Amino acid sequence: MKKLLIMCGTGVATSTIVTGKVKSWLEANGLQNNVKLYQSKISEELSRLDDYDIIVSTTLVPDNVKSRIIDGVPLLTGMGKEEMFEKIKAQILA
Amino acid sequence: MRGLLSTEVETVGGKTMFFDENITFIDLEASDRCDAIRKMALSLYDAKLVSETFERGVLEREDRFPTGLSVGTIGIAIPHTDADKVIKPQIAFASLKSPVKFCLMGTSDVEVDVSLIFMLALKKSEDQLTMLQRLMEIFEDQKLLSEFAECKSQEGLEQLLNQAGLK
Repeated sequence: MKKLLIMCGTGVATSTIVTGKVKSWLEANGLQNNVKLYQSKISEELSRLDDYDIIVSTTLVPDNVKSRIIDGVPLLTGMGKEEMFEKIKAQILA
Repeated sequence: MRGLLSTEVETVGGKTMFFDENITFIDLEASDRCDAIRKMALSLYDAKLVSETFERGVLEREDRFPTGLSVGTIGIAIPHTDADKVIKPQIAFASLKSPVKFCLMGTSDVEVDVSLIFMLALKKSEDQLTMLQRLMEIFEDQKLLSEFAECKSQEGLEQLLNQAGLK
């Protein structure tokens, strides 16, 4: 089972929304048993990002970890969300 | 503390009313985003919905983690801060007389002209998910957003909030 972290600046608002949407999407695609979801704030997670297989963030991340983070903002505005889900799916099935 | 497990992040039909205190501004005049944030935060504080550290918390957070969103032609922002500065969950709304610049979420230097602000005073609890999702549905609805931007009366605003399932 893959560990999927969803983080934002406070761990309260945008990560809650993104977690809700990712959860519905996982269920709609029958992937809910492939993934365990974690929701948190970036300041608590930066030191242990390696604990997760997939990371979605709605907030800016340091350059050194940027390459492995999926931008979660498309789930807030609806723009570009299909491409974003494809990225998550690819990492779940990888 | 470890993040919540998926099983703990459940959608509950929450009945918490996030707009029941009517912290709303139509055609708010603000010189910049800090001014807009201060005015909205003060109003939440006066209504005893947030602690006195809320305003500073929102301003600091906005600098580090911007909350501007660009939805088609409309710029919106959802400034907020940590749950410990919130006494009672609430969302303050403002349409701005003239747009102010916020940075786009997920960037540190890309600006967006914001004309609608939803200031979130949230506590960490499951029942706010439903409400936040409804709020985001508005953000995905360009037509409804335009109606919020063009709304000029308190009654009209009430109607829009009702229509959006937020009140």
